[in-house]
Amino acid sequence: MVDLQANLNEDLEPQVSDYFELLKPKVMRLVVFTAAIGLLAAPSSVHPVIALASLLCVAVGAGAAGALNMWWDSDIDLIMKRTSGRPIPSGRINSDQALVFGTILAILSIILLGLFANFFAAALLAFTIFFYLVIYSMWLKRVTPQNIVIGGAAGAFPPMIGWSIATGGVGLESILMFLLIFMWTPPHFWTLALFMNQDYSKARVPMLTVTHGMITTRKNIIAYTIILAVLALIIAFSELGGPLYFLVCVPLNIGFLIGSFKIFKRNESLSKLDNFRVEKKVFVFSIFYLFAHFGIIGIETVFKVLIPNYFFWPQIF
Amino acid sequence: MRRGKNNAWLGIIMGCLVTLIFLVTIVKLSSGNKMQAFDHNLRPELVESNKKK
Repeated sequence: MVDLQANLNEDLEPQVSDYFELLKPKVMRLVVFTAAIGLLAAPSSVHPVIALASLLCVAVGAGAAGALNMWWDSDIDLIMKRTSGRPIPSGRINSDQALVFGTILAILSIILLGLFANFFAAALLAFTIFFYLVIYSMWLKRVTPQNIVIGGAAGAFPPMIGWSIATGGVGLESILMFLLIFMWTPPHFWTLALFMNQDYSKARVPMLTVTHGMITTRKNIIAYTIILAVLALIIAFSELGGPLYFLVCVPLNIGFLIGSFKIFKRNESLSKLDNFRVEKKVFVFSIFYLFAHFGIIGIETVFKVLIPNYFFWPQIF
Repeated sequence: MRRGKNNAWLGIIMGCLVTLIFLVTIVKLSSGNKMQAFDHNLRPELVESNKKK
């Protein structure tokens, strides 16, 4: 006899893919990539097995933070069109399952990173998870339009974690990599908010577009992009930079500045007319911008190791 | 069916975790790390001042 109740219960159980989706794999990709570059750029070397195991811990820790964020934000995720398909609002996983899953993974990743690499890196990972969950998700996100400016720090820590895996501490270069992501986050998310404003309004998330309007947001995007471009250029003359970095960084920043300026010059009616074509293009470009900057820092590091003094380059600090 | 698939995945992930811990242990041991810690008896070789001698 077929046990129908048992079959029904089994059908309601979440699948492995649902749990994987809780880890926010797209965000995880960026976290692992920037952490790997931080590790590669560090002056001390790490055994490849230790490096891979440590990066896996960072990936799992970032995934755990994503799962805990989805657990806390499941009420607003249900309201927003962009996030309504996530595992909790779509009913594939319940909140308790997500909370237990995220907590276990967070604890496991922190302990293992401490054992695999060092306890400074583990403490930094723990602080990053805490910052993302408590400071950003639980506190800032629903209170202030500065949510992503301050909360952006959570996404900026991974290269510092990577660096600390190798060195057991913090360096000027790791702080520069932190600042690059930190300054990139506001223009990146505000560009998204411009064409997702209805979602944030409906969910009462005080994004800058909701609290201060589109014109202020457009002004802020260009202001932050200018500061970001200056910072990216400063990095070219640090230990992280070099001629290759400079060659890639200049056109990328000109591109981002032009895109932000176009956004600044546009208004709502113009944007709605072409369904936010420019804003969407700049948003996609901003993702490429960050990947390219970190990618070239990695390539530059490999070049410096393989061919010391391969090109004369002025280093200010 | 679905539960069996989930269990199989969990088994694979646990297996990978055990393998990873094993590999890291081998690497740490072969690079000179000692596999001992405090165990209710004083071990002179674990005392920091004795290590330097």
